[in-house]
Amino acid sequence: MRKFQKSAVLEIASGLLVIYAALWLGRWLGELSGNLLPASIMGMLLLTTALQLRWVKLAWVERTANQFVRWMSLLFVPISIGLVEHIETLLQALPAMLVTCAFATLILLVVIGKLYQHWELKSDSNNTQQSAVNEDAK
Amino acid sequence: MINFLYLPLTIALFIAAKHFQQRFSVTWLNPVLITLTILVIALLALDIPFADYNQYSGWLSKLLEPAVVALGVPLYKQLYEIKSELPRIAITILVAAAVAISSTVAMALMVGASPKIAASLAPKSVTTPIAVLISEQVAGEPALTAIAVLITGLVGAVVGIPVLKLCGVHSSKAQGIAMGTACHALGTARIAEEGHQHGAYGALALVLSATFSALLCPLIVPLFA
Repeated sequence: MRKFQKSAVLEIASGLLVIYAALWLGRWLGELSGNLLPASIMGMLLLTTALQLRWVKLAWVERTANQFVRWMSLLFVPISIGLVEHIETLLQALPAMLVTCAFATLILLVVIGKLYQHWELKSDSNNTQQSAVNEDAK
Repeated sequence: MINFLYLPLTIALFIAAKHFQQRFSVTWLNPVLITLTILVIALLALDIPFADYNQYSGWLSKLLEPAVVALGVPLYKQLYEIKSELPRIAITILVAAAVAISSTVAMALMVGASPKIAASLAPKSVTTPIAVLISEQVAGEPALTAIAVLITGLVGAVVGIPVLKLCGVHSSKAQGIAMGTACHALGTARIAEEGHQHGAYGALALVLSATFSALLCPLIVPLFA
């Protein structure tokens, strides 16, 4: 039991170290590139690259990353509550904003989802046909 | 001292809302929306300044950046599969970004919004830090943009998955890409709860749509002026 806890703490600590290192490097690279992408997204791409190149082992970050992803929704709560500061502006523009944001978003969601799924199914069926042809050729 | 209590209160409310949602398995009862509604009403009713609330609760916002970095792990796990699909993912998202910007501006003008508000809404599907920069670039109002981004994310997080399923989109990859492109990090956070593959495609879509929108917004928005 004690051994398990010790390794869990180590895994969380090493994960935090790697993630914050990626974020810090991402911030630096972001500034160098004239803020083309924000630090966090730059850091995400750096982490993926480092894992791919085996500079970072998956075991070092997996546990911490899973927890971050699991609780990510919670992290949006305080920022969202910041809207109380803009409540007057918000109330003025609210009807137009709500209608636009809701409808445009839902339409977009369905268009992208349908488009990609259609493409995916088409290429899958092509592949199956292709492999069927290959089977026949054998 | 009392300012400190808002932090555990926020976390406790969120966990309670999450249990509530799972107990009754109703997707639209989104924990973020429930927690947000209760706290906003409480702050307004008790006249508590946001600065007081945010003094300690703001620590949670500081964890958003590392959380986005952490999405690199699901992205890496799916990378092998994603590589072969990258061209069609990129084309889908490029088209989607153009549709997102033009449909939003057109719809906003149609319901009577001023050109400034319409321009502020244009980058609504992009993650906040980039959306605010784009908004300045197209002569919008960044504070309005931040709120529009939030509303968009909440709409996606609350009804996104049920709507996709209702319209027959069941593929986890298509769902991930749709949520990441249309509803940025909040949508990605929601869809990542469904599984690693959903999360990986969501994270990739988040990055690509932010980049494409930053390039396309200054080209498309002036067309409506």
